[in-house]
Amino acid sequence: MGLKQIASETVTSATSSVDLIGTTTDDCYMIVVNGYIPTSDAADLRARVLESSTPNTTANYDRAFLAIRTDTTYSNQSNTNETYYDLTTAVGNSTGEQMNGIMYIYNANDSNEFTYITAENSQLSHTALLIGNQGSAVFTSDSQVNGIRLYPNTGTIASGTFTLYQIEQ
Amino acid sequence: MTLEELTVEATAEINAAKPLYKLINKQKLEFTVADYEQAIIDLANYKWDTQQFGYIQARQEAYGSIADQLDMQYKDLINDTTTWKDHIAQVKSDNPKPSE
Repeated sequence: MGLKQIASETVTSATSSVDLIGTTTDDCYMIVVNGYIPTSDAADLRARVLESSTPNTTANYDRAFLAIRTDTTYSNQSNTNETYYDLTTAVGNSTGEQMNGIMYIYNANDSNEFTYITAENSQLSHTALLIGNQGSAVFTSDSQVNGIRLYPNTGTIASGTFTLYQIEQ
Repeated sequence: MTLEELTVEATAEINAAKPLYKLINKQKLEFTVADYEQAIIDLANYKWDTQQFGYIQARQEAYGSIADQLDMQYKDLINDTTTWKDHIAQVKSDNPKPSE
C-alpha cells in the first residue's frame, strides 16, 4: 500500500479551473491542495466530479460540513442537491491568506456506486480569520467518475498546487 | 435583481474577462463554449445566492458567540440595560433580508 502520484497541476497565473484526471481504479484517491489563493477576495474553492473528463453540473451534490471558527460559534454548513461541492469559507488573498487541505475520494471508478468524499482544510478567510473546515460530501449518482474539477465560485485561481494521488491497495 | 438580470450581468462580466483558461494535464487550455456557458450560469447563481441568502451568514458572524450573548443578557438583567437587544437589532438592521 502506498501513494502514487497520478496528476499534479501548479497554477502560477490566473486560471479558472483545474482538472485532476485519473481516478481509474477502485482504490481510494487523495487530492492535496497546497496554497490555494483566489484572485477575488473571499472566493470559495468548489469541486465537481468529472465523467469522461467532463464536469457533471447536475444537482446531485450533498454535503455536511463543519466550519471550526476562531471568532464565533462553530457553524454547520450542510446542503443537499447542489450543483457543486463547496470546500471552503471565503478564502482571502491578502498576505498570508490561503487554503491548504486534503480530500479523499471513494468509489469514483465504480459505476454502480455513489462517489463519496471526505475533506478537511485549514484557511485564513478574507478577514484573516482562521477557519478549519471538516466534512463529507456525496455525489448521488451511480456513475463512473474519472477525476475532479476544482474552481473558485467567483474570479479565478491566482496560485496553488493541486495533486491527485492513488492510494494503492 | 431577478435571476435573469443577474444572468445578464454575469454574461457581461464573463465576456469582459475572456479569455478564461482551464489547466488539464499541464496544458493551459482556453475554455470551450460549454465551459463559458457554465461559467455564466455559475456566476449568476453565485450572485443570486449572495443576494438572497448572504445576510444569513453575515448575521451569524455578527451576532457573536452564544457565550458572549449570554454574558450580555446576564449583565442586562443585573444592570437593567438593553445591550443584547440593541446588539441583535443592530445586526439585523445592518444585514437586512432582501425583502426588508
